[in-house]
Amino acid sequence: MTAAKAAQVAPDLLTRLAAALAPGAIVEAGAGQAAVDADALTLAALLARRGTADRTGGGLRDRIGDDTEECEGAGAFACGAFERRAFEPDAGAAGATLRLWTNRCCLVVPRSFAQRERFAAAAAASDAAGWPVFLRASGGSAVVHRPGILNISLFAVRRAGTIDIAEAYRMLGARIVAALDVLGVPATLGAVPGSYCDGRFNIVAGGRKLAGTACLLRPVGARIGMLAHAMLAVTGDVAADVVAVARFEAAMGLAPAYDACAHVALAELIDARVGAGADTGGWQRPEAAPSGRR
Amino acid sequence: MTEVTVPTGLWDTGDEAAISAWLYADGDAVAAGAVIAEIMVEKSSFELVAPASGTLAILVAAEIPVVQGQTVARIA
Repeated sequence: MTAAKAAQVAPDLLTRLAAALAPGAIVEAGAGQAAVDADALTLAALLARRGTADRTGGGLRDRIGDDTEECEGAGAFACGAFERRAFEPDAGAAGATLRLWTNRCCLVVPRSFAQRERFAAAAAASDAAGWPVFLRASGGSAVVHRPGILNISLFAVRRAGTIDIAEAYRMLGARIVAALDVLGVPATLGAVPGSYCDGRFNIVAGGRKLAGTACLLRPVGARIGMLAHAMLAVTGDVAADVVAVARFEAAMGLAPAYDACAHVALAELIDARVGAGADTGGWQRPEAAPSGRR
Repeated sequence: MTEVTVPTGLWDTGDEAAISAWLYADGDAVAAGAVIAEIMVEKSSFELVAPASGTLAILVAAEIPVVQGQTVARIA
């Protein structure tokens, strides 16, 4: 494949995945720390706007999926619609707010990493290798962001006691699994030993880690703001991602033991399914598409 | 004196949780509503908020496992 065609494939598949996640959604092209910070800012804004509705005595009733939240002073205020107006794109019928975005090449780590003794030196070395390090509010460990990785951030505000971490992950995971199904890629949630930033709620396809997930829970009064985030490898060299993470964590004094084969990019899965004659929701690489189809 | 406790009902009791970072030092003045620490569990970060204003006394250091309902600090 020529470089020009390779460049054409990436945005096409990413766009198709974004459309499957949220029809009409715009994928933000972020640039470093500001793109990461936008997640926390969005969550804060959602919590603040809910607070405004509470203070003004307006009713507050929110439908997210099949779960209806009723806050104190509830009347008839459609928070789902409110959020959709305020924060496009959104999660449509699910009622939660969805943000789709990419970032430039970087590593993103929980902000607690910055308190560790070797962080500054490790971050400087990673930066010198082309992978600047940025901080995030959600949990987990070091992950890769780059243009071929789609970040999927799902926001919701719930009354305390009506959501837990597993439910937050399941909300996000169900949405991603459904979108992948549209592309003909069966996926599940689970752990993938040997992957970086491993956890019970990875998006797994063919036994390999397609996306990692993390959450942030922020209590405000009787409510909890939830951010569930996934970084899904659409295209690109996942082995190089593993090298970048392992190098940084080794410099931090950790003992990374990752297997590049534990990771996979969506394009690789699509290629394999196309090669096997499977249904991929009409998606093909450009050079393989019949004339006039694209 | 107000106790700062680990929340309950947000994760399975069998999940390992720990304070990943204190955002204020022992003896610092904190304001009610400020995020004073993060609890890490299942790749999730839960922000621990100061329930009152005053001087923070940390009882459990960062990276030490905690359980739901445990008192991890006091504010006086």
